[in-house]
Amino acid sequence: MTAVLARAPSAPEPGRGVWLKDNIVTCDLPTTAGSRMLEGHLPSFDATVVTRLRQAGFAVAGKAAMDEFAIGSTGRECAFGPVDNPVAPGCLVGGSSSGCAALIATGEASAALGSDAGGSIRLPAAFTRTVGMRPTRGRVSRNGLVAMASSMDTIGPMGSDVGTVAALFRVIAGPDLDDATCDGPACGDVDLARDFAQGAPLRVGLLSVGPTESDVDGMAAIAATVRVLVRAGAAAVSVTAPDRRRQLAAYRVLADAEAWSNLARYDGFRHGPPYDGGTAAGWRAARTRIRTDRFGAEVRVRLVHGAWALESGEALAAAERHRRRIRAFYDRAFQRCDVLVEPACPSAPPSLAAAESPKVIADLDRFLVGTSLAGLPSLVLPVRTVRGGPRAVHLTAPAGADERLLAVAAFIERGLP
Amino acid sequence: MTDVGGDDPFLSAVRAAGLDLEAMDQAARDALLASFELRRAEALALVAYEDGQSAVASTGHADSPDSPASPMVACEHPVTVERMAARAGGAGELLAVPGILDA
Repeated sequence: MTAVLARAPSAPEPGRGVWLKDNIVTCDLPTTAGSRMLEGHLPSFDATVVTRLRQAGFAVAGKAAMDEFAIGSTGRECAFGPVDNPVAPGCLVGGSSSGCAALIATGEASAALGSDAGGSIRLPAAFTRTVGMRPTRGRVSRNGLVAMASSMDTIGPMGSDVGTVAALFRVIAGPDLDDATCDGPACGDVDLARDFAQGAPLRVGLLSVGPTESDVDGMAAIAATVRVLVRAGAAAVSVTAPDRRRQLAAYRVLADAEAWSNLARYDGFRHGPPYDGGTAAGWRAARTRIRTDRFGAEVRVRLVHGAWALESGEALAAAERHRRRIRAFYDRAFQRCDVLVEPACPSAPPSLAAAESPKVIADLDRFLVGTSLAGLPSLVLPVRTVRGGPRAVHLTAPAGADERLLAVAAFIERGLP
Repeated sequence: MTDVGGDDPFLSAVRAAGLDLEAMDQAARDALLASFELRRAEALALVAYEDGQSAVASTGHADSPDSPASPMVACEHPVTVERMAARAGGAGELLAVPGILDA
């Protein structure tokens, strides 16, 4: 397993070490974003979240493997080797924050920071029985995050339990002058001991799930979660979900177009190992050769599709219109409920053989991209199922209600068998 | 729709992405083309859907994502939750929870 790309020279004190996905820059450890294009790259500064961790007394334990440039859902797309699933051997670990999730699942780490554009924190958390949170867009600084899909990229905490995730969120949340889009408040009170049997009843929205969208274990996980909340006095309401296939289509157009734009800066000369010259004549030819050699297969696909989507115009416009439609859906849904619940993924982690199918891979983030498009806080929480495979629920709260989301997740965590 | 460079959309997009098809082996080229076509078809279907929504918006019948009658919706009533969970070996008591069945 290649979950570790770099270790800090000295091990942090127990309980104070935090692993970083390798697209979060550090001035004392290389940052490769899982790509040959950035091999050996040593940034000149720490990301804002890293500075905040250090100021709060945490130490960077090391850099964790990831799918190249955060492009991928499998954990198999890191240029320095695939990441195995320690919880379900022979199955996908999920991506792109695959190394962080694997390190937490094996017990080598209890806390990590990942990044999530369309599910990159939440999917590997779901596949490894760990907890992963995507905060509200604008509450955590992206300064020092290697950009992929800028309108959706979000740094978020990952951990062995909700308490660990909440502790990290307290440290990293808050406005940052170095990221103009990060203007949300610092973390408020997070009452992880809150009993939802007290006070106004929580309204739990149960998002509809199509007959082929989730397997039986996924639905059992939902039922177990809702049971915990309803026993504590919560009211459950049904919410009809939008077509998730169109959400995926809109996400892929927007993310690929933004990735094409962001990754245009990598020419092989300003970052990464020196180019040996080869036979290419002139800068333009050399640049093309380097990009072809150093970008992996999945990145190439996204760049080509992104180039087409961005230049075509119509696809991009349609995706933007659909994003507004999805945001309007969530606005209406949160008039009727405080938190939405749905499966985190369509099935248990697919076997490596099953993952050869493009269709299987394309659907992995089915339940996760909607909240990415809407910029909402969401969290994946593991649930024990009858057959024992790693399964999880996906909880979503209104924008800015990250603290409440954590409190609800902690309550469910305590109540689950 | 305007494609990059106005010729074959795949070749144009490869150029715009700063990649060199000649430097890839045949299997890599084929895989790249197949994945591109899948994504492009998905995107064009979204364009057609959104164009359709715009066209009917003036009639007052534009699709609403959370309308049960919407063709955009592919779902079952949440009663399925209890039925499927019961098949999985538990959660039958959810059948008695007001709100889930009645909302």
